[in-house]
Amino acid sequence: MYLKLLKNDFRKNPWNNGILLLFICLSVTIVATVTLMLAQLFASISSMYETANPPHFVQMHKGELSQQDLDGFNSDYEGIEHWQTVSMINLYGDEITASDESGKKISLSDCRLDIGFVKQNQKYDVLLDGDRNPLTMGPGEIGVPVILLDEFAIAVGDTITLDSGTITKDFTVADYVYDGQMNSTLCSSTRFLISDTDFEALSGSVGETEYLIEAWLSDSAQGAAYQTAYEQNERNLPKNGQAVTYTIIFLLSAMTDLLTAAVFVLAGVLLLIIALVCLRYVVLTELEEDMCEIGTMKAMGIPEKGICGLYLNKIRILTMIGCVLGFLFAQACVSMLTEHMNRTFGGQTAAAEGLLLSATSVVAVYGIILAFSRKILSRLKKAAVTDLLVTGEGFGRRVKAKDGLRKKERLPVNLLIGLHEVRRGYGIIFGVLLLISFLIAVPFRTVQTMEDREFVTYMGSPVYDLLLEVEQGEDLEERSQLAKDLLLEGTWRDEIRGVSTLRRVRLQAVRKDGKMAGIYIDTGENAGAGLKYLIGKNPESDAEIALSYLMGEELGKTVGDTVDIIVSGKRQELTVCGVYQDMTSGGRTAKTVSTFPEAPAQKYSYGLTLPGGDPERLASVLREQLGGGYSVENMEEFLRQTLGGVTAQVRQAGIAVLLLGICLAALIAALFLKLRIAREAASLASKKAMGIPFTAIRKQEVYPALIAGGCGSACGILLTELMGEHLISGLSGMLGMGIQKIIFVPAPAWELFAIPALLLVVLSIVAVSICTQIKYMDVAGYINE
Amino acid sequence: MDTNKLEIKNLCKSFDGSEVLSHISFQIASGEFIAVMGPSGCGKSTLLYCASGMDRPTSGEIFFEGMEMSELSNREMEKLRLEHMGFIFQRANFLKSLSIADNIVFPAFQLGKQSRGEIRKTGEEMMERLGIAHVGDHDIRQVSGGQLQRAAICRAMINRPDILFGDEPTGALNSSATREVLDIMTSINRAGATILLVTHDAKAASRADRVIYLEDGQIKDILSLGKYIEGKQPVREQKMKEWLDIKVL
Repeated sequence: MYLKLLKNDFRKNPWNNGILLLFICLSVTIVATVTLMLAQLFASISSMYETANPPHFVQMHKGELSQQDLDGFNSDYEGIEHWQTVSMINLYGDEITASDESGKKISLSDCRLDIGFVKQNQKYDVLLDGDRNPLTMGPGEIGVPVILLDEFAIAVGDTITLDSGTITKDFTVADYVYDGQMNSTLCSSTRFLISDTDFEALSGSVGETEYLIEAWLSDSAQGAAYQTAYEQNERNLPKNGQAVTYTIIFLLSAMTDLLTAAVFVLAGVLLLIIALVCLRYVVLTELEEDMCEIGTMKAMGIPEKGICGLYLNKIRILTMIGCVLGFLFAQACVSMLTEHMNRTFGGQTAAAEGLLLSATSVVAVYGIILAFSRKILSRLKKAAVTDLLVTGEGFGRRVKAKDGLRKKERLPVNLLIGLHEVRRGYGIIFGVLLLISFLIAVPFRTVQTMEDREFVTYMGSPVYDLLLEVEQGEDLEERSQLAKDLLLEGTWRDEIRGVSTLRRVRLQAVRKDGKMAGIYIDTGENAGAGLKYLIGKNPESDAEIALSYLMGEELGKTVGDTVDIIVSGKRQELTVCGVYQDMTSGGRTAKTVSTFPEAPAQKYSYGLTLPGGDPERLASVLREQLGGGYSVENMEEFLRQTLGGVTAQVRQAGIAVLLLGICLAALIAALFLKLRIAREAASLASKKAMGIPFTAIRKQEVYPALIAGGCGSACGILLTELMGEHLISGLSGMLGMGIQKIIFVPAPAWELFAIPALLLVVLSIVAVSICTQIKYMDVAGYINE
Repeated sequence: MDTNKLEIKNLCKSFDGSEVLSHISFQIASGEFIAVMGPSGCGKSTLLYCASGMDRPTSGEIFFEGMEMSELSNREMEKLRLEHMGFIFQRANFLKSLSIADNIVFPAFQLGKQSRGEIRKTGEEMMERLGIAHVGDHDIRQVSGGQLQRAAICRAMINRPDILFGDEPTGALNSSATREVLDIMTSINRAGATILLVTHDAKAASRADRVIYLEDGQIKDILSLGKYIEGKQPVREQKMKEWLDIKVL
């Protein structure tokens, strides 16, 4: 019977029910898609990790090492399951060229990531193909890291030529490498896979050997504790390079997809709110329309539960259909969102757990809609029979008329009517446009901020025009001196206004609980200058140190506290003067003026300021002069290569949200205006009867929609400017990225108007076309209805 | 009464093949007060809507001051109604977002022939005359049915129309409010306005100069009562009663 009622209701109100069904369906689709996507992301990573078996701790090291010391340390360490040392041949990008069948060549000299050639491992840290099977390369074959495909168009069958000056060797691209450990552009290195034979032939002849000292623990979460023990061990274990734990490997791998999911979670939640707002509007309109019938039923003694049930069952069936359709659509939509995931972690079909989780989220949406509907329908209880039948007092909030139209001398009458009408029920247009504008603006403002050169300050570095890094390895000090001399003595020295030199060391710091923690400290006269501090300021004396947010958290220290740094076995007490944000090196770094000459340098970096200069031109000159072992990037290029993948994904999600937002704005405006015209039919017919021109009546209907929509959209943009950065900051804080506070870059004035203008154009088109039906209204039929 | 304000010739109106009005013809002279009566569904309101140009006849001609209305475009028809016609319906159908006074001046604002100051003054005078000046700034839900209908009359008269159309304007009012509204309409007619009133109420119809009785979409009879004179109302009502008794029988 209820299905029959719904069918009849659908015939009577196809617009209301159709749009309502669409909203429920859309919100369920998004919620189910995101749940499925997240489930698939974790399943993909877990599944990949199952075969790839990435390490729980990696220490990269260049130079000599004693395997005996490593074996000794690991044998004594409780909770270790396996350890191994893997060799990697480090090569410079300009030594590698890819060429396709047509002979078109692509040099990898612009690749920001350190390139390493490796051979396959047996059981641990295995490199995989797209189906997650261990890759095997034959002699002359090479596997190319899949994450490079965004930047470099290398196809299977192309030739990779290694030309180190002394050796030239061609490889045929046999497959793409899915790397469990180094699968993000946010990492510092990437690995190409070659055969054991080729590896042995090249080892020692080309590039520089870097070791990956890897450990697997019985509990992967103990990576940080292992790292501390490793760094403190008296055997002085090799640590000339970056150290990374499993948590950071996982986070870097998942970050791009997590950010995409975050955008869609936001969209899903807001869409659900919009669906609920529409539901409320539609239900209240129906209650108003059925006021006399409800009054009669109440007068006849039909229990409220029964009357309520008539409406609730309709919503129940409608929601159920929406949920089923939404769930089915989600299965189709998820493939669009998992493209990046499949590219990074290999193909993954939806697992039963994912489907179950997704279905649970759909049930939750169903529950929320039903609970909300019950709340709306509770108004039935409050309404008295006399009010319904005699005074015609409805269920909605009465808005008192505003006097004063006749006192206005200048404004056009249609606009005046619009200004009066906007107070009656247009809240839905205002609210929805506010939410949609917010929803569209936040991802775009985030991308804009991430693409701005100032974003480098969130990566623990001040804004330079050019960054020259002397990479780890043998003769670091000599190479660093060479770079410095070149900078100061070259013909370009007049172009350079300032050079900021940083020397990175790896030391131990004492935590609040007395335990030790490894810490990367950038030292130098200008260390910490030019950064944006969450609290405090940059270090100015030898006794001061600035900590990154995550480092401060780990040590349990904040501004004003003292930190003990262990240098050559002695404690050196420094006062924390500031806390800054850094998402590099696992987010755990520090800055101090004190140079710690006793500690060996891990890296040197030179930040150049070139007022009026051409950073890219100087970068290519320096690259040419310095050769391999250095990384020279202008800031924009550095950001593009590091965060390009993440920003592209967020931008893509933003565009999807923009399109969705436009469709939503159009649909909601259409629904609202259709319902409004139906509700105000008598009044509109009366206007027509009086001879008010159709164009004037249409303006009187379109103006309030535009006023409400324009104000809503403007408030949405204002809300984005006021709250958007807090939302993104909260999100990044939750992800543990080391960024606690993101401040949006100032938006250009045109951009502040672009979103409201676009939405207003959509709203105008919809409003004008919907209001055209007034022209064909049967005046006589409505006048005395 | 030397000129016809409205002339209806051979008017027919059908809905989905079913004829509601059949070959209706009559004239309304300038300054005349005509009432149309008849049982429910006889086509009274349809006649009014066709006569006022709100609805298009299936066939036949309607002349307003000698001008054939079917030749007018929609825009011209709207202009004609706004400038020359006034309407009072059973339900006032006011704009809920406007106060009583704002609703009254709204058509004049829309017409824009006078300055807003003049319109405001005219509105205030009319409200004063009809005894609703004190509720001008009220919300439409704050006033009685009688006050609302008086406001509807003010709204209908604000552009000083040549003809006033009333579709059961007293249908939803109690007896005292009905009397008040009829008194106002009578005085408006005396001041020169032409009125075409559709009503069920014999008392209301008895205020008219002539009463047209419609049945099954056709004019069955026309009763001439002459101009309304105060004090003669019981006689007019009696005459109406007798006439209607014959019609019903």
